[in-house]
Amino acid sequence: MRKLISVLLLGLVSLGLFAGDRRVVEPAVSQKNTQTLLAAVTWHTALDAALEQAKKDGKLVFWMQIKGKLDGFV
Amino acid sequence: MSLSQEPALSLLKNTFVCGWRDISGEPYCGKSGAHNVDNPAVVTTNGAGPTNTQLFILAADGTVLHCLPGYWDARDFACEVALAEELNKVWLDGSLSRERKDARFREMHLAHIKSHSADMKKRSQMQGFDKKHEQSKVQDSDCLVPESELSARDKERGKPVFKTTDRIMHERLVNQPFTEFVKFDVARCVKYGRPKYDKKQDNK
Repeated sequence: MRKLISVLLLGLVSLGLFAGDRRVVEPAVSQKNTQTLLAAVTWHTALDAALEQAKKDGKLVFWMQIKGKLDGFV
Repeated sequence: MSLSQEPALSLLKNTFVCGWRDISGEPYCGKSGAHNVDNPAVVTTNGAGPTNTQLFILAADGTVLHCLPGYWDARDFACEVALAEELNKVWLDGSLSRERKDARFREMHLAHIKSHSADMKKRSQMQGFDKKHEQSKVQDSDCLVPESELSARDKERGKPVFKTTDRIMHERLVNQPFTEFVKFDVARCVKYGRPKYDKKQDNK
């Protein structure tokens, strides 16, 4: 009986792990995440401008290259 | 992408000046359609979709310190940012020759692979369809674990064993130490796996 329970538990965990490998994020959550990111950070569209600002601020530059639009993707 | 989640979000706000560009039309850009905000997104593994997205960390003079191809978990992104900050110190160290700086770049990127947690490696498994694509070019792929590193069990199985994407990322970056962004060979860094990334997001 104990062995059967262990096998069943292992099966359920495996399914959970497998399903978790590609968890889906619903559009509403995705859009909220996008809005959070857009609101939190100023996004330069010209690298030169970003580099100039980074020199002034003593910061590094995070330069994201994506296929598509920032507000439709992140 | 999980940049809206902590610890990534705070890093973006406090450590970086941020920017972006649309790479549609670039020769190294993937063939997948652009993500539609009305469709569900998929949380996937580190390094998935490398030709659709690249996250560069640059020094203030435009030198590439790091390039993360594809999706990255917020925790793992933070781990890589820490490396980039150390690399920046090396880059700015006036007491080091260019040759010494390049050597440190290589050492630090390769050493970082060993510092990655087991969880991070688990999150960095190559997608199945990317493995199949790499397997089809087995002679030329740098994504396979060399035979000298295989366990006896793996050798016995006779199946190709794939490197995790965190390893592939660092190993490829050592070929371009402290390179100016405008001269950086993006394709060399991000071309692995299928050029068309299947998110299976359309329930049609």
